[in-house]
Amino acid sequence: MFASHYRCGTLAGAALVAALAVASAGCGPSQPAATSKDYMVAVSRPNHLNVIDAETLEPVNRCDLPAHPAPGTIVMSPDNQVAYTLIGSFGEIYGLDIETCEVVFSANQSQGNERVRSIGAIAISPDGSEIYTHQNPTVMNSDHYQVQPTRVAVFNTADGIDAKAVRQFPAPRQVTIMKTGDDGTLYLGGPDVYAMDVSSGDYSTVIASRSIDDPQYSPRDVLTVWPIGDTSNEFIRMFSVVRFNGEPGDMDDSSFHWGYERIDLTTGEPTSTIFGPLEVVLFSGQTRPGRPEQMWAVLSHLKQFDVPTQTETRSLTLDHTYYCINFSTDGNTLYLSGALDDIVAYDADTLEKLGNVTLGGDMSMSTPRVIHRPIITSRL
Amino acid sequence: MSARKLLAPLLLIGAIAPTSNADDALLNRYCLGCHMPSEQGLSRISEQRKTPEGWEMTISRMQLMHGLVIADEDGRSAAEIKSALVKHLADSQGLAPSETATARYLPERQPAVQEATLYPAHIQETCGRCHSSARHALQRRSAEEWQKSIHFHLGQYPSIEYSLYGRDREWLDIAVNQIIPEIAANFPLQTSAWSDWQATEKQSLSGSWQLAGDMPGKGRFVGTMAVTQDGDDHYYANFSGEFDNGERFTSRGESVVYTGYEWRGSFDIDGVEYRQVLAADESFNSMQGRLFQADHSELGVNLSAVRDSGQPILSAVWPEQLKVGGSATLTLHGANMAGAVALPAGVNVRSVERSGPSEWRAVVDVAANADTGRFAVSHGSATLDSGVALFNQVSAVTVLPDYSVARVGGNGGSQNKMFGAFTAYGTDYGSDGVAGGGDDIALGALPASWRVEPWDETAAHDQDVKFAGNMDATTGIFTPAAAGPNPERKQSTNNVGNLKVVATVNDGDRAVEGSAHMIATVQRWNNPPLR
Ligand code: HEC
Ligand code: HEC
Repeated sequence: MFASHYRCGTLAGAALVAALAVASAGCGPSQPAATSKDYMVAVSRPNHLNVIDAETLEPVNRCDLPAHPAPGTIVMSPDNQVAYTLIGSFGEIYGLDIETCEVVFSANQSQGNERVRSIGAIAISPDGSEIYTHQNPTVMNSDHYQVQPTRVAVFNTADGIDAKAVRQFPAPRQVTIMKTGDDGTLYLGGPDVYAMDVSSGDYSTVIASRSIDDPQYSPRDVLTVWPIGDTSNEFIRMFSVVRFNGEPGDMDDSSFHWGYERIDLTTGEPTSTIFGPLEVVLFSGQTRPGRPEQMWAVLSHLKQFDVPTQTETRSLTLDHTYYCINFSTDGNTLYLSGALDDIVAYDADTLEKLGNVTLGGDMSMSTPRVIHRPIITSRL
Repeated sequence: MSARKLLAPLLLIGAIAPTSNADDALLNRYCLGCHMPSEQGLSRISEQRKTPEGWEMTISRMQLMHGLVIADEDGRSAAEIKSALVKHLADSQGLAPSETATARYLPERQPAVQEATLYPAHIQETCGRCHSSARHALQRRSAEEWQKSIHFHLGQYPSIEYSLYGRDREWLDIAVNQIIPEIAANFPLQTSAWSDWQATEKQSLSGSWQLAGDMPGKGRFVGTMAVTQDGDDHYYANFSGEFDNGERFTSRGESVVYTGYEWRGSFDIDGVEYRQVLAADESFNSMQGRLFQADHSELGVNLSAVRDSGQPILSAVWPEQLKVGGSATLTLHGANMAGAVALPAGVNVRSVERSGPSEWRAVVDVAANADTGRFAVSHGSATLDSGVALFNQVSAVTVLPDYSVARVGGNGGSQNKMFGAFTAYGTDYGSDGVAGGGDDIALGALPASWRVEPWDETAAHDQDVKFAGNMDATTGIFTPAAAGPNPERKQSTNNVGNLKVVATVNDGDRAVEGSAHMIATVQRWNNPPLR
């Protein structure tokens, strides 16, 4: 059932060499050379933005970041040329050209005596003209602090260096991740999942989460700082929940489950569902591109779930924890990253390890991205 | 190295400025600028009261986070200046003895306090998950100041709203509208306890003191302290003592008294640095607290001290329990003891081995038909109520602490190991033979032999007993293993373990066991004076 199928130029690492003979037969010598391919962009300590060929797992560029790398959340310009990184101890945004390493955009969210922190909530408009962040501001007076209401801030990417927010809208507290839909709607993952109109700031709940009051379930626990799911064009975050199968609150007759709250960013369609049993803690998950019935999630295990039947289909114990999961754009390769300093690739059908790359510094809580773009000549 | 140099800056020795005007000037010198003058004093600062350790930590935060600079000046070292600031603040804005009574375990560094039993769950979840809830219970503030504390926390640690017990609720709203009003009502700035204490005339703690206590691993303790005053609130002390395992020591150390009653002593005992955290009571004739190793606060003696002003004092009876029908060597420790020794009915002196003002020792026989229970012991006019237990049998053994944590350490890392330290206590269930039947007799600490076992199947499977450390069979002190991943363990985990601590007490030819739960876990990375 999981017989490996070889694909042109999508094998990675050690497996690549061995597979090449077979692959070249299938692809044929007359196949035109590809002009674009998948890359990974990842922030690592002490201050690096890494660009990695996702097929060979070879780094092709490494830029120095101008600030402390935490949290290291990245959003990419639509042409995948500029990586906008949320760094500077959760406070600053830098846009770097991933080929030249030139800093083309910067914004210090803190201004005057107001210090601003964003947890992992940064997003970009579909046309690349605007960056959105969710801000936790605190006014730092000479002898006391004053926490301010949270808000969404809008920056014009065209403002370049030292950009200032051009609009600000009140927003709920406790927002950790954000993404934009193809129609420009900004989705915020906070106590509930909200959709915001970025021109008026009006927002409404699209997926109830904390506000659910269903006695057959415990409150959902949502832990995420990773706006992943790019290659499936989805906003997705997982929750854990206890289902009371008998009397509400009766733990003796209950079961533990994983679920997700998801927005299809192409259509805006929200889903909120349990997808499998909770056996171990998992940090991030996404559906497989083109195969929305497959949910994959990671921490110290890599697990695959079948969403319609809410069952676990496969599980792999990993050599250490990885916080982030990413799929290749074709959905055939899985990348595990975050936490420590290596990114590992698996064949999503065979779970064969395809290779890994070591960055030389921990990724910690950063959110690496997989992008598809014109070929980059290695700068290293 | 002089004794002074041995002291941590916290102990503030030798830095006491002569007048309080000078200290107000010091506050203005170092705190004005960021803090504004108001009618009460300096903004924020005048609205809080706390322990010396609490003030020390606040000033350290001013240095670390806000750029307060304290440097050597006018012939005083930076440490001395900081000490003087702490001393002044703790004296003028401290806590009354009654205000610290329920949370003394924090400055005393009692190792295994389960705060979940002391504070309601909503307070523990909100305020006891990063540091102990005693951090706030050992402060008094105006309501506005308590609110400012929330703004400091959230402004400084935004993750508070996003981490466990934060992300599942409206943290800020709950903290501001539910938790803080409750804390502000319980721990207000102005109290009659404090105004009464301020009005109380403080007395010197110089003189002779009789001490008694017990220490896991070493057993019962008695000692004396000869204290001389050297300037305001600064003392020297000749401290000597002995444990019932036979160990003896003498040491000369020093101490500073804060807020009129908070005794903070420091002693080098056989090359090991010890801290003494005691509180004098309102009579200034007794002190309670703890003596502990500076680097291993889990190893310590719970102490009570009584002032020796020439009157007879009976401070301890060793052993604390006598089996009926048996015989034992009984020792009475104290000071100025004279006159007849009165033992419980049925305890007959066979021969007196020693009879002096500080120690009386005799071989005693206990009649087989003696009444059991706890009874007073007297020497002349000095009496120790419930000084000794007469018992038939050890029915049960309780190991304390019943739940505790030990930590790996060493192995080149910066963190000390944190030992497990246990004591076995006995109970005689009395003639009804059942626990809690109304005639139970508490027997006090008993000698035991010690071992560890796996707590559950997982611990057995992971061989926690083999990897987590070593239990000393005679002392009940558990030494955790070395820090760091162990390649011999599954997934190279650390030398952690989930263990059952078992004490076996021999009662004649019966062996009675008791047990406790200990988690051996990884290091704690910060170790502040108040957790
Ligand atoms: C360089 C500026 C600066 C100096 C100098 C300074 N502070 Fe502060 N202090 C602050 C700031 C900022 C805050 C608010 C944030 C906080 O609580 O840490 C603060 C808060 C406080 C608080 C309230 C703390 C709480 O937990 O609510 C106290 C008390 C305090 N300072 C005492 C002092 C004392 C005593 C000194 C002088 C020895 C001092 N400060 C010097 C900046 C300063
Ligand atoms: C996210 C972890 C966290 C939580 C939750 C937390 N604290 Fe703290 N608290 C800290 C840290 C860190 C400090 C600073 C320690 C220091 O100054 O050494 C601190 C300091 C304090 C201090 C001492 C401040 C001073 O200068 O005197 C008090 C009092 C305090 N907290 C009370 C509370 C209360 C009340 C709550 C609940 C509303 C609470 N804390 C919840 C982390 C936390």
